[in-house]
Formats: sequence, C-alpha cells, structure tokens
Amino acid sequence: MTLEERFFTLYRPEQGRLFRTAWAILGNEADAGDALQEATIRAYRAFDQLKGGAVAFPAWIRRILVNTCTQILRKRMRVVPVERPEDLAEEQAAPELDIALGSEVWEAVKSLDERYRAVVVLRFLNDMQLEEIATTLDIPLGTVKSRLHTALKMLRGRLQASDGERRGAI
Amino acid sequence: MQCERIRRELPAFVRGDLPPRERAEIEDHLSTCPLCAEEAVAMKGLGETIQHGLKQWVDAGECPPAVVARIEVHIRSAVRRPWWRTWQASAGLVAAAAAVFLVLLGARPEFAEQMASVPLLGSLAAQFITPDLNVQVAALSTESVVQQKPRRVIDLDVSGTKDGVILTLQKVEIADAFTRLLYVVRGTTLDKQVAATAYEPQLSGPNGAIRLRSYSATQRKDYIQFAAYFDPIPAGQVLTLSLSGIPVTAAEPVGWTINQDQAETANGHPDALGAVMVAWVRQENRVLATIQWPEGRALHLTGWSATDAGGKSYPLREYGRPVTANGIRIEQLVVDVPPGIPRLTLTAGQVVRHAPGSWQVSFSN
Repeated sequence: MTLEERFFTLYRPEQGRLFRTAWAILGNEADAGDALQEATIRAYRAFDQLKGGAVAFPAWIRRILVNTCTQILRKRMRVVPVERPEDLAEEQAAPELDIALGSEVWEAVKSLDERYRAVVVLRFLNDMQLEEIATTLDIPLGTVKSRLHTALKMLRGRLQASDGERRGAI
Repeated sequence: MQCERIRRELPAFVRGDLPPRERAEIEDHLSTCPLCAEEAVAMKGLGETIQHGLKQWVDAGECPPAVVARIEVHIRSAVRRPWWRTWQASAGLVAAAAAVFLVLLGARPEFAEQMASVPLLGSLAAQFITPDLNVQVAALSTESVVQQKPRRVIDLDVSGTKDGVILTLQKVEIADAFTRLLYVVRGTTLDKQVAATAYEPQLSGPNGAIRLRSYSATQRKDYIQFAAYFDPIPAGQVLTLSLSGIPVTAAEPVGWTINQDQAETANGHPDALGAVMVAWVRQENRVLATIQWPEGRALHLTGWSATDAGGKSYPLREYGRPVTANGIRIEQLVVDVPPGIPRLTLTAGQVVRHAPGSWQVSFSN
C-alpha cells in the first residue's frame, strides 16, 4: 500500500465526523468544507510523522481539524464584538423535551450567534477547558465564561419553555 | 450580587474544571443557597444533554460527496509533487490550474491581499490574506491568473481636503483586466463606525465614468485604507477619483428620558432629525432601547450617555451597528442599570451625517 492509500484508508471512515465537527465550529457547511480540505492536506503532509498508527489517527486528525477551524474563528473574531437584539430577547416557548435528540440539540446550537456557538461547541463537543478556549480564540477567560453562561441560558430556553419579560412601547 | 457571580462559574464547576479553592467556595455557597443549588443541577443536566446531542449529531454525519471529491483531487494532484512540475505537466487541467493559482498566492501574500476584493475570487483570496492559511478551493483558468499582474504602477501622493477630511490617492496599478486604486481617507471628524459602503468611489475621465468592479476597506487606527477595482483605464488621460458624502460627526445633543412606564423627549433636538424612541425593554439589570430616524437625516447617532435623576452615569453600549429598513435607520442601545432606578435619560452627543459635496483627486495615466 502506498502512503496515499494508507492515509485514505484511515481517513475515509472519519470524514463524516470531521466534516460535521468543522460545521459545528464554523457554523456553515461551505466553511466546513474549506476547513476540512485545509486540515486534510496538513494531515497528509504530516502523516509520516504520526506515531501510534491506525489507533492514534482519529484523535490526531481531529486535533488538526479543530486547530484549523479555530484559526479561522480567531481571524473572524478580531472585530470588536457587539451584541444583537436576538441575544437579549427570550425565545418563544418550545415543546418540553425529556430527551433531546442529536439533531434537536444541533438545531438549537446552530441557531446561536457565532460567538456563543463557538464557545458551546468547543466546550461540549471538543471537551476543551475554559482556559484552553480562551487561549485558542484569543479572548479573555472572563469573556469565555460570560458567553458560555449566556449561551446556556439561551439554549435552555430553546430546548424547553421560557419565561417572559416586561416591555414598554410607545 | 453573589448569586450572579456564582452562577457564572457553574458551567466550569459542574464539569470539575475549577481549582480547589474556587471549587470549595462554590460548594459552600451551594450548601446554603437552594436556588443556586437547583441551578447547578439544571446546569449539569443541560450540559450533558448538549454534549450528548452534539456528539450524536457529529457521529451520524457524512461528508458531502462534492467535498470528498474535491479533497481527493487536491491531494492526489497537487500535494505530493513540487509545484513547478505540476505547472508544466498538467497546464490544461482544472485541478492543475487550481494548484498553480494556489502556489502563486502562497508565494506572495501581498498578491493575495490585492485579490481579496476582486469579485471573482471572493472567499478564496479572502482567506489568504494572512499567509499561514495556504489552501483553498475555486479552480480558476490560468489566463485570469496571469492577467492579475499589473502592467504598470503609478506611485502618487495626491490629496484633496474638505471639511477637515483628507482623501489621499497613493497608488494606481494598471493591469489587463482591471485598474486598482489604493487610497486613504483620514480626518478627526471622520466617523469610522459607519460602514464602508458609505464611501463608494467614482472614477471618471474625459469619456465619462469608469465602471467600478468592487472595493474593500480596512479600518486602521487613524484612517481607513481602501482598495478599489475599476475597469481598465485608457492611456494618456487625466482621471479623477472622487468620493461624495463622506460621513462626518457634528456635536448636536439629542436624547430621551425613560420613566418606569413611558419615554419622553428630554433634551436636545430629536425633532430636527425626526428621531423617535419606539420601544424599550426592561430586564433585571438592563434596559434595551430602540431608536429610529429617517435615513436621510443622519447616518448615526453616537457619543451616547445614560444618567439617572441624580446625575449618576451608567455604562451604555450600542447594540450592533445601526441598520436600515425601508428608509428608516434603526439603532439599539443597551444600558447596564440595576433594578430600582425609576428614570433614565439617554443622550446622544453627536450626529453623523454625510457631508455635502465631494472630495476629488486627479492623476494622469
């Protein structure tokens, strides 16, 4: 088997998971495809340095993919963040779910603004510590904590019924 | 408030990520505060639901066939061989053209910056501006690639000044497929928060206007750097770059007062702008106010402050950029104000308008 064939044998079973991971971090399929291509090429170039063989491959290439994605995120996030109205307004009531299925959780996470989605995905899908997320995205730890806090509040609202608020209008 | 602070730490706490001292502090609080303890349990459950759901979704995933194909083509044709051999061996193939294009961009990052705003290249070059990302998509014909090199570069430093704003044309690059103009706008009254689309440039010569293809703006500390692409320009003519209606600020206070139940005009002249506060929302520690005005009267209200009846100030921030819908400009503000403050006055210290007239610089090709 050539190097190329060995690489693809290990790579193909992971490709679906890797694509969705990139999609989750970056928020759209087009960027996910680009990031996956970039990460695959980096992995291919470094393939002969991988120790541990087939067993180590999935976690190794996932790490490369996550790094590629967070690099893109860091550049996107250089703009000074401002919040938008959707962030403050509570969601309308959704049916109460005892078990949230994978796609329902994804729909809820996907609907978050990028800054919140990124922190939630890195935390819960990629199991990153908060300090690690702060370093990776080049934002303060306090910002990570408050974004996570806000994101969880919003997700809770989207996965269950939510409360109301006082409004005034002229 | 103590509980607010504790709750912020709960996501880390329930996953066991906190150092021992913080962990102990939170455990102490939870043992005495049933509300927070309940919140901690809910948080843990929510976290597990999200984690499980996301992982389930990822595991069920498939990579779209188009992406699979594109990756394989790219790896097999471009990655292994040295770039120069790829160019010579397969000049006619789409895959090889992508590799050639890729290599040209990789070798010259400043070239990539030049291409970022040309419409046909879009996302590919936009990702290339910092050289550490070195791979992208978009097969492109070799011709277009070759055409991008400028035939001729004119270095200038000509300026037009008006109302304290200076337009400086730095460089003109003439290529077969386009003309690129590099220029800078600076000035103390310039409002840099307004979107760069307010600065659409025009280029004209003795035979009329030259068509604008695209332009991009980069915000720097004291100025805005522009790169604009026009159709190719003929030789031996005097051409004029002009910008009209550059946004400038003027001090002109406008404002409202929000009582518990209603808003009223307090000070300033919102009437002159036709500006109205249309809604506000009061939450536990915040007020979100929505203000709108006809687009033609002002671009932006800025220099906001929020004070209570006693004159104390509260932190306030603009909620995103003003947006335009049906000729109405809408802005939202968020004020961090604790409960129990019955009356809040919001004042904008400055109005940003398009300055009348135009800035112009001329050069000869």
